[in-house]
Amino acid sequence: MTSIALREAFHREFMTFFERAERTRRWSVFDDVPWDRLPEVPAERELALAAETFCGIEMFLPDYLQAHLSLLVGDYGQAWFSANWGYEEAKHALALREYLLRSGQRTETQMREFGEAVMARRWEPPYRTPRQMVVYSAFQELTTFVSYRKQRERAQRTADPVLTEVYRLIGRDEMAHCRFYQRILSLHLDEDRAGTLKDLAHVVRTFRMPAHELLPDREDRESVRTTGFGNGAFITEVVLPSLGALGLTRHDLYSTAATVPAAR
Amino acid sequence: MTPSDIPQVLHRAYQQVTQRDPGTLDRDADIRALGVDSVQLLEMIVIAETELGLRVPDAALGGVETVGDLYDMLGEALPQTQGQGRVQAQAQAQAQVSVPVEARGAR
Ligand SMILES: [Fe+2]
Ligand SMILES: [Fe+2]
Repeated sequence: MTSIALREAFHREFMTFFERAERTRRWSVFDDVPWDRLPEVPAERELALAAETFCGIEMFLPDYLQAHLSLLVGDYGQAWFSANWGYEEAKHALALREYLLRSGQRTETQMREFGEAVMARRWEPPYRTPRQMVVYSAFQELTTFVSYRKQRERAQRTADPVLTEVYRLIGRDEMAHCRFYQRILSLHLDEDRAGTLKDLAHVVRTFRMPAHELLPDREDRESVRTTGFGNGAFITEVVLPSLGALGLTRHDLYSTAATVPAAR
Repeated sequence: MTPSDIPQVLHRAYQQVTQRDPGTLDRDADIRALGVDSVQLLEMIVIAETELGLRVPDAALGGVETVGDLYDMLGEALPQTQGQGRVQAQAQAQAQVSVPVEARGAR
């Protein structure tokens, strides 16, 4: 259990996050996606497969939510954040699903079968402590943001105005989630710098993106999922910018305080 | 520390991070073919920076593909007073041959 002072600080962070979300970031699957431009959507197999793959990853939401909430008993700020986060994440899967259906690239039957294949598997949280899950979430949200940014650029190049906008709306949410987790991490660093650095180093060493290995036809999806996310992108586009946002350097990560056994 | 120390320092960093002996590190060897993933590479660079007393800019980290890239990157970050960083690091590194046995895919 985290200290009362820390929990109160989490709550203030949640209120800041929530106020900003309510005032500047709310969007509707029904009204804010340019569905009137569906006739312009090109039939691009790879683009549709990527959209379906990310839709599948987002569909593990019940498992993600359960993992977070079960770790956050008594932590009002973070639990409320998770509830709001779950609402926002739910729209990500829905928007991608609607795109695939309305553009005619998938049928209702195909989406139902895909959904059933996804829901037949379970995602297990990779870490057991709330703080390690915060570190994991900060990296995971930024990785997701970078992935969606690359997908958006691809949709733009393919002249798909609908998918481009879907990815823009989703990516903006992912960045907001990432910033929230970074703020929570800063508070953890203020309270227990050595322990938090140790968790950061551990999660960097062991990080894996969630759930993609649970999707059906995994091999076909792997190359579309990682488009533009080459060797080392996790370091240059996720780890180093995250450390920078926390006022840390890579040397802090591997300082004596953060050193853990090299076994992986 | 001088450019001629770079191969030794990297040899030790490789051992520390992977818990394996790399034998000798060939300039042309692909880092990932040596079983070093991007996170381990970052850790090796931090160890080498600390031992050599230098800092490589973040922007340079994305371009490392081979052992030679690593030598050059660290050589270029050495203060000029310590010699012709890149040239000496290359000369030293060219004397190294053979690649470790354990080669694994990377992240
Ligand atoms: Fe999402
Ligand atoms: Fe998110």
